[in-house]
Amino acid sequence: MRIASLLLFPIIMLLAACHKYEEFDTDAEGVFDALWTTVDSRYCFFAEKNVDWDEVRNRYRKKLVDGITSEELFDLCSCMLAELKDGHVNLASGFDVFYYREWWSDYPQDFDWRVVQQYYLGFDYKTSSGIIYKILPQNIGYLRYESFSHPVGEGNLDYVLESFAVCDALIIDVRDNGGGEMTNIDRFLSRFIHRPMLAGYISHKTGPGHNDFSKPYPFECKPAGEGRVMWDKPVVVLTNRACFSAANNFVAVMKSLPNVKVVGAKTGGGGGLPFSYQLPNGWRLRLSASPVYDSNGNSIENGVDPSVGCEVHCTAEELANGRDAILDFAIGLFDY
Amino acid sequence: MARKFRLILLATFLDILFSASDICARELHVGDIVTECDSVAMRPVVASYFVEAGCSGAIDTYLSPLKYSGSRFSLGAEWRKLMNTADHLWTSRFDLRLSSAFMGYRSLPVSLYDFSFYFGWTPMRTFRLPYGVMLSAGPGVSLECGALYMPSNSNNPASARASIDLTLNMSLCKVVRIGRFPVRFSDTLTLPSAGIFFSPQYGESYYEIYLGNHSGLVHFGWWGNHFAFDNLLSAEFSAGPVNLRLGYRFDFRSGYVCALNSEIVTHSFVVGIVTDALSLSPRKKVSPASTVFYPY
Repeated sequence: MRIASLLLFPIIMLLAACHKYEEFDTDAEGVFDALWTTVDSRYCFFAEKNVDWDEVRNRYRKKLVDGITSEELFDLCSCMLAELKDGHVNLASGFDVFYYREWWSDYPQDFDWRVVQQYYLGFDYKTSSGIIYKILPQNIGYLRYESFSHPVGEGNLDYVLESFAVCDALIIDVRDNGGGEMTNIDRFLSRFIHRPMLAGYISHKTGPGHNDFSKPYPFECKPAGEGRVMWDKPVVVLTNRACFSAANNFVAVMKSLPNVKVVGAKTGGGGGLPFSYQLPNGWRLRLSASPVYDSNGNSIENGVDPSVGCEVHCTAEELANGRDAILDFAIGLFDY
Repeated sequence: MARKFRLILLATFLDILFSASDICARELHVGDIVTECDSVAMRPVVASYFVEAGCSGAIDTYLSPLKYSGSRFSLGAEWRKLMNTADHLWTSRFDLRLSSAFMGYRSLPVSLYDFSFYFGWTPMRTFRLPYGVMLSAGPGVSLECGALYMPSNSNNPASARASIDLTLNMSLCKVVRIGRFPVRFSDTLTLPSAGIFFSPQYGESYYEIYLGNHSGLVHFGWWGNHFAFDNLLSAEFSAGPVNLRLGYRFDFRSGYVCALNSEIVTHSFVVGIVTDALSLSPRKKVSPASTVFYPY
């Protein structure tokens, strides 16, 4: 018995040592390697973006010179991350945050909130939690939701939709909405459906390999509970390139509803649920980790197109003249 | 079957907590040879309550590729009682522990928090070894749940853990007299050996789980993918109606499933008291015909 007891401890230690994990130093090489390795094993859109991440590493690792400053290292890492062309990929340090901005900066803005407020709302509108709303002169309800990070309660939605009861149609303006909480999408959608509907698919990585993915899981959206105010009349969702992440998902699901049209420009994408990781020097990395697809199984990482025949852009000249072509187009759809 | 097992476990636990305990004339300890038939056999609960303070190191690759370290604090209790068997060789032990840790990466501020709850039940058979050493060993069950929490993360803010395990347990105990005072030295090892545990898939978000994808979350655990052990080395000093317990705990938890690595290592200093209801209630009537069986 005593011999067995003596043997037990080394066996235990042996077993405990079986699964080694990679450890990184806090110097520039360690930070770079931790960043590259984390992206390599966790990022979910390599195939979609057609990025050879090994080649990227080799190219940028050569630029890692002795005595590199923290700011220089940050710039180097930022340039490497920019190769992914993904708005969800960020690097945050104490002195700067890297964002990949070209997903919207290379496109027209198609929106000026000041124009809408001044020429369409007359600076006279109501606000309920994160929702701005007003009935337009054409008897159309106008609802602006600036960010899915703004909390919206069931009571807020009841109040807004109840006030629109006399309207013939509803315009939901999510232009410049950069996303936020996915659960807020469900809350909005639940007012436009009467039975559970397929909202899309979600997948996740099953291992560190670039092609290690689970089978896409279908997820549903459920109608709001009994007694809640629902909306059955026509809906137009206004979009521009700066609709991103949760707003992008919202547009994708709304587009699949029969009484909804999406008007404006293609959204900015951001169809991957982001995860975050800390690097050895305290910087924080965020990246797309879990791809989301629309109800047809299509990727929405590169954006959602407007409904057929509804792609509209606002020129700078129109906006300067106080005209929002996208909003005008949407109002025109109901000008019977 | 599961319901019946739960009822038996609950009944044993309540029995241990609330069993009657009267003072008596004759004390016997587990493993003592009983040569006569006693009219009343008492089996008091020996309870130990303790606090722990120490340090922990943790890595969980679901949350971060880094290994964090920091301080840990725990509150715990242990109840032991001799079981009602003819040979007086079996004791029943319940363990309860609440623990929290606050960890950071090297010199960086605290960014990782750990919360855990542990409950274990162990029936142990005692063997009398030479030189007055008592060896107790037996199987048991344990329940552990908790989470590592990293509030600055986005859709991977926590790594929840929950497991139910069959455990192997062993305890060595020897009483040594230092001067006039007896000191009870013991070393207790708990080794979860097989069970089930929760883990999300490699890159699965809790949002996806919330949406209803529950497949592949529960895993069969064995030493190869869910290895843990807990070792408590302690000394009990007699101090009147209560004994003072000082000890050192080494606790190791690890997991490797779905290509996710996790490991939590804890070293902590234990301070507690050990007592039983008899010692704390000297006014209770003594029955000369009674025999008290202590679970140590």
